[in-house]
Amino acid sequence: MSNWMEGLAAAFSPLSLLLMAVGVVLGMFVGAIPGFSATMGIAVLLPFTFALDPVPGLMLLLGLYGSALYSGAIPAILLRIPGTPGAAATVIDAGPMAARGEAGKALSISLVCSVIGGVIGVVLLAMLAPVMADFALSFGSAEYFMLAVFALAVIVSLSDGAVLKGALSALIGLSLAFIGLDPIQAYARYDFGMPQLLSGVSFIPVLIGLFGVAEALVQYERMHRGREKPATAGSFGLSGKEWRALAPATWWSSLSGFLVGVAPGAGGTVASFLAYDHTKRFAHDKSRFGKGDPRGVASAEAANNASIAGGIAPMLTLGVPGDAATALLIGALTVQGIQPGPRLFSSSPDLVYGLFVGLVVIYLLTLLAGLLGTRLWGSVLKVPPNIMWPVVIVLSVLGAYALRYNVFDIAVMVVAGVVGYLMLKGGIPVIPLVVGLVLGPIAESGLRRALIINDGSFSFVLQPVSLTLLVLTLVAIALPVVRAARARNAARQGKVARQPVDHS
Amino acid sequence: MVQRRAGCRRPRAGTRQWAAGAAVAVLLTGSCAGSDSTDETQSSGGGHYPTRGIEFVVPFDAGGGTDQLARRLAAAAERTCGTNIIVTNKSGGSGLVGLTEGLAARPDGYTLVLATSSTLLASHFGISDVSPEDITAVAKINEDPSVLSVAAGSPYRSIEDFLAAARDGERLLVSTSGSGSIWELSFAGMARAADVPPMVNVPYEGAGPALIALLGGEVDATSISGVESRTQIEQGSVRPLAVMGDERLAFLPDVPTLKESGIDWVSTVWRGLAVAPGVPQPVVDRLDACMAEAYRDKGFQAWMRDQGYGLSYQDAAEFQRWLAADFRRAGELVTSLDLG
Repeated sequence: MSNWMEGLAAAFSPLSLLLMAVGVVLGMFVGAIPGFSATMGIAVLLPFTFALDPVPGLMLLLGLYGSALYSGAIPAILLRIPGTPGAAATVIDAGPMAARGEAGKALSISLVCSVIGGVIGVVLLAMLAPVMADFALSFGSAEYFMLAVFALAVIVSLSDGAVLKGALSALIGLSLAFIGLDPIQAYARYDFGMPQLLSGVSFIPVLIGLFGVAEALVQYERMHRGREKPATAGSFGLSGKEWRALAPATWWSSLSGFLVGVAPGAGGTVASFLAYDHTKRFAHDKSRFGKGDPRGVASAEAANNASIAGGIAPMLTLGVPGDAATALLIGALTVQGIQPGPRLFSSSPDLVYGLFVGLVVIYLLTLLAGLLGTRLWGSVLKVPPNIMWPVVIVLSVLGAYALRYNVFDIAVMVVAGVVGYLMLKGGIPVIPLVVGLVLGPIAESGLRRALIINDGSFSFVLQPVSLTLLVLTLVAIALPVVRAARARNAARQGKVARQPVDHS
Repeated sequence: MVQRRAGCRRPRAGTRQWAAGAAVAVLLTGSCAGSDSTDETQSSGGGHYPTRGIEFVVPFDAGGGTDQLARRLAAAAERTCGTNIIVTNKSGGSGLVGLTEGLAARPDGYTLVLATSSTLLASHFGISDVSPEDITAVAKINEDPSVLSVAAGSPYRSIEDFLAAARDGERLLVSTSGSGSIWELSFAGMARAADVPPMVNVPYEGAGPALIALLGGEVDATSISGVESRTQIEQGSVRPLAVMGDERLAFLPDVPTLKESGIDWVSTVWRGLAVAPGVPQPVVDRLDACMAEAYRDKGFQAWMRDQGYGLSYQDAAEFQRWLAADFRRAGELVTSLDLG
């Protein structure tokens, strides 16, 4: 218990609290602007922490990290452009909600569920951190491959009613993932002699193009067809009954988001899509998913934020970073002469428990800042479209470039924008493409490493974790097929057929 | 300090200024004053260098080991070179994008680039055509040896155990960080020097995942550098068997070098500073001198030691000769091991 007291004292020092607040405010901006990622924000702030004590320094970075993952949902809701990659799944239901004038509700849901997801993640982290090391280590190359395959199957099956188009989109994403240096042998693939393509098509510019530019183009087209009444944000409040309906989705998504976050490398994007999928799969009434179901927003946001705490687990217990953001956090600690790893719990309890307490405080600050700001965000919708969308395009260019000062990324973004526009027109969902691009490298290098390790044998599929994932994959593929077959049968028997649902 | 000035760049690269400015705008209030007052019209070829800020291109992501090292050096060099040094991260293509751009800049000495062994090694794998002739060397600032390590629970207690297992035909897996990385050459060269069958390379996306694979028991050993596995070594979860440097590492005084074990093999990664070909000799000399002074800075030296980075300095002329020799040696090795 004394550890917790030390943690409380460390997290509640005036400087820590101040820096948390600064981090949270900065994170709001970083997360809300597409192209500025939480990782970038942490990298920029990192040198400032060198001059601080470890705990306050870490609080500054974590404040930014936590609130950026929440605020990524703001443009996802208002403009259908995810501010951070983890908010891509939020677009699925938040977009339609905003279109029918419920942006205010979606904003409130994203805020509350982000905070709840984040806090649940921290609680799980505090309880499970010691055993998480084994879980993280049990995820080898074979498991990564199977996880990626499972997630891909899930994404494709999400677009039921348009499974073929979803699969097509995922395959485009996967083939884009082949561009660049071969992950196993140093061999350049599909780079057309351009060194810029050696490290592959970078993900953020594609995301900005597919969502930001494509959406702007669609809106331009609409403006040409004649003026439309701009959507309003609507009311921001939800009734107690509405909140209660979101509770199960939020809880389960937080749990699964945390677990996916522990597997290093998978991250918030995968976590939110998987959570979205199981929420939909286990819902009694699936018909509204993809058409503005609040549960979709709740589960994507809860999982995305819970994955942060999951990602911190390998850092604390193994001293090994799970992703780029935690690599920077480790950097912030090692600079101070602190070595993350299992001994941290005994050598610097103030830091470990201060981190747990601090994260909870950070989420409460995010809630506060979000509550104060939500109406303000909503007023974005009042900006006339002929001003809004050009600004979005400018921000998209800026965001793509700012990522790593690479002019080539702007070109990637523009191409992705045009492709995204054509896909929108053709009714091909863009989200499987995004997920394919994220998972392609994980699946490929996982498979090839597993084959090297097993000397060319596929026996790794029969290991417990892999086998579980394989079964889940088969279920994910089979369910929509079975459901479609049943619907056909029912239709043949003259009963009312289930309408295929179009998700995008 | 360097970071704070990112938003106050010279107007030369307008868009970038905007982008960096937006990212740190909130932090900048007041810190830009005066930084734009230097005179750009002065000649850059002669004794007046530097008359304006120097751009220091780091071809890797912000926050990584190489970036942190570069920023520390830049902070010291701002004082010794007497001008602003602005670090820009141009990542991509395993460091090739930034290196190529930095070397293609106007040869006036105002664009400095951080070169690493891996960016040059890429040429031997046919994915780049940068060779030492395309580089004007300024200084080598760091060299880290590969350390062959196993997990704490491994049956191999010494490098002799490990090599004996290889000689017995055991299929040994070694995790490395990235395809075509120098660490594959490290153990492949070691195996050749010890005259045992080569181990199997299992490449991962960086040193972190390579370590996780070792801790999780997926591979038998790793050949990443001692700096990268230092935390785990000191925690006792990773057991270092041999250092592939000329001397033992300061933070691993009990771990023998390969040479001590009778295997004539050295494998290191290095980091150095370079400018575009054609930069006037007086400018190179000036950079050489003020970077040497920055390298000797107490703060920089202390930071390098704390982090475990190998301190190893070569001046411009020495580094240029050494680059050519190192490049040739790596090329021969890639060919003879049939890796390329």
